[in-house]
Amino acid sequence: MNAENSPPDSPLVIHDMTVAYGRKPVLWNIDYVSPSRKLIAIVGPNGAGKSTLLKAALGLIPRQNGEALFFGQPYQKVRQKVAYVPQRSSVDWDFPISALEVAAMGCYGRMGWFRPVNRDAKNTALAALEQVGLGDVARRQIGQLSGGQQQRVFLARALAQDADLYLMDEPFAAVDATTEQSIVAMLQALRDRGKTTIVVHHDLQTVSEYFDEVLLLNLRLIAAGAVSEVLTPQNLKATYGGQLSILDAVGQRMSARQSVTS
Amino acid sequence: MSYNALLVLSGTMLLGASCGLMGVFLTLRRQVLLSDVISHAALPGVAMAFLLGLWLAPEKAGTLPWLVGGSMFASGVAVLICFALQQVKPLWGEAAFGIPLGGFLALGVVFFSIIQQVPSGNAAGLEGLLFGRAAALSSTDVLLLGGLAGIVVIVCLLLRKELLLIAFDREFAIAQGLPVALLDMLLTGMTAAICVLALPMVGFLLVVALMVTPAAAARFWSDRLGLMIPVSVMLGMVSAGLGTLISGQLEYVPTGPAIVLCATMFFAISVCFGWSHGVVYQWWSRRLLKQEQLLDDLLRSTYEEFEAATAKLHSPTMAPAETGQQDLNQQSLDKRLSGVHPWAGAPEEFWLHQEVCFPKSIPTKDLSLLKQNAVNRGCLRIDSAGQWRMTELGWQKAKAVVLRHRLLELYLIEHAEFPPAQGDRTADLLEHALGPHTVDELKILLRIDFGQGVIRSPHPLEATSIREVSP
Repeated sequence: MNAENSPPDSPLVIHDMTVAYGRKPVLWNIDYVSPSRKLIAIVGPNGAGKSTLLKAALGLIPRQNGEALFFGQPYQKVRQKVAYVPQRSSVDWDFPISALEVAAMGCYGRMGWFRPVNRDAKNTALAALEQVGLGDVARRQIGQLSGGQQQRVFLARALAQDADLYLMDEPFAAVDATTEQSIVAMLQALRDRGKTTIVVHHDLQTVSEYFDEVLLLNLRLIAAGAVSEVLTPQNLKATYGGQLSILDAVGQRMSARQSVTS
Repeated sequence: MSYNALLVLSGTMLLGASCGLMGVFLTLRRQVLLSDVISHAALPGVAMAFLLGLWLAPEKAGTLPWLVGGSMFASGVAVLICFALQQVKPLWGEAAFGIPLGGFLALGVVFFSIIQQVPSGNAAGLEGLLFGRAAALSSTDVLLLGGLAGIVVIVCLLLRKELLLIAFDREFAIAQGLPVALLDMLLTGMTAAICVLALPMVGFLLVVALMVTPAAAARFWSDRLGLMIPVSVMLGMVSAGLGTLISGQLEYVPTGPAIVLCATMFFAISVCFGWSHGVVYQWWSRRLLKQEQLLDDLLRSTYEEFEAATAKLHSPTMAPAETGQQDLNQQSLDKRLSGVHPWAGAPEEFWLHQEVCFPKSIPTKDLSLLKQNAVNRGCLRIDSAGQWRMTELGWQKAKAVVLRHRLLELYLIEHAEFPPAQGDRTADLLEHALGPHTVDELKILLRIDFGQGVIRSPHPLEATSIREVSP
């Protein structure tokens, strides 16, 4: 499938994308057109490049080759329509900032430069925190929240952005079962409001229960489509089975050879 | 105070405030070492500017604009070298900063030795840059330094939201499309500018202290940036003002050390008494909390004594079935009741038997403190006969405390399936953390409607067979 003849309103179109860390390729020739208004999971074994796929599509890490279009346009032009929730780990938890102030960051893009954070932004942020069940800890410093609450603060920040496409990197990591259920309910509510969500997910058991579509990934795109069609034994074997070791070995050898020649 | 002295004072205060402001960003970004590099690189910059000035325009060599320009240039070069070194693989962060720092300092010392040999070198007043000499500044100097610092402060406040974002979550800032590299450079440049501008006032050895100390102190007062920034700015400003005044009075004391000593003093105060993280403050509030808990325990045990006594007087012939443990506890019960005598019915006239009501587990020293605390809060009083008595207010509080304990105990037994004895002990530990909100929640959850009264204890209290007591 080519980027050129895909529907222009598709939230995410990835065309022939290859990504490498240093000299080692971690994603090969990814071609993907996401449907809109769906809840989509990216599934694959550890090191399959799930998080990398999101980051490379957003341009947070450089692409070796290929392009990613959001709603038919490059990311730079539609940043406000795309909200990204990174894995919970990269920030300084001692930072003197409250949950409310973090959530309000979702509104920064709309506010423009030089403007102070206004009441509107604070109200939006508070509403988003209430939506994820954190209304009564909004004033707490983020380090004083539990791991699951911290994760939800960052979800609230994405909600405050009021985007049309949500990209989430392992939102269920380190949260308990109750929190997981409430996050899923929230994602489903988003879908019912016409939003698209793409989630990096590592639990195969719950894919069919939570998601509409799935994208099987292991260095390359194995299969993508409706959960019932894609989650077949053959596809799963291709994703989690042994034959990938060859691709991996080629990658290793390539990186070794390049480091000798360069 | 002369006009010039006043101008110098306000100039140093403005610089102190801007140091406090930049310090917040420096400490939040964990880049304290960077300001060290900047200030040390200023030394060869100043020396080079002086030498260059001697050669190009001898009459202007050693004037402030020359020196500030030279140090800004050298600091900028040093920062660029640091950032370039950070990109080189086998070097780690601190080394990438520490090595240029050492190199520039050594270069500076060499240059200064050369200047000492130049005929006009000694008269140049460059020594002031080592430890700062605010009094030597002319009013044009102050206007230049203050004006530049003011611009930096305004830019910083305008960009507060963006600078906060890149300090807190870089990846998100990039995803939002902020020009992160540009903002980084801007912030570093502004830090360098403030650093260099503050040099004539505090000297290059101590300028880092004036940036970092107020910010670090401010963190002890607040968990919120919105408060931390003004506190840091104020501490920087007051330290700079005080230090300048002190060094103005004692002329042999350079300005820099005087200012930094003031800042350090404020830091020490903040570490102890800061109401967010100050150690003494925290110790004190824990102590107050402990007192509160002991008072609660005292009120509860007194109430339960009263309950037992009421039961004994009102139903002297108790059915044995209701008091399964009566035989076991008969002895202690008699002892307790002997302490309650003489009692005529009204709770205020019930006096506290020393051994029973006051918790035994606490040391005598704390006990007297507890009694004093109870009297101060109007819960206890000593009557004319020297007996301890509960006041009306004390009874009100006691009822609430007992109710809270029993609600929690019931909850633990019914909902968390604790065995009754363990429920009592666990409730002892947890009850102090319950707010009025949680108590209301417990009432609803346990579906208990009892008006103003107190529910019966879920575990057998000796001699208690009443459902409700309303004194």
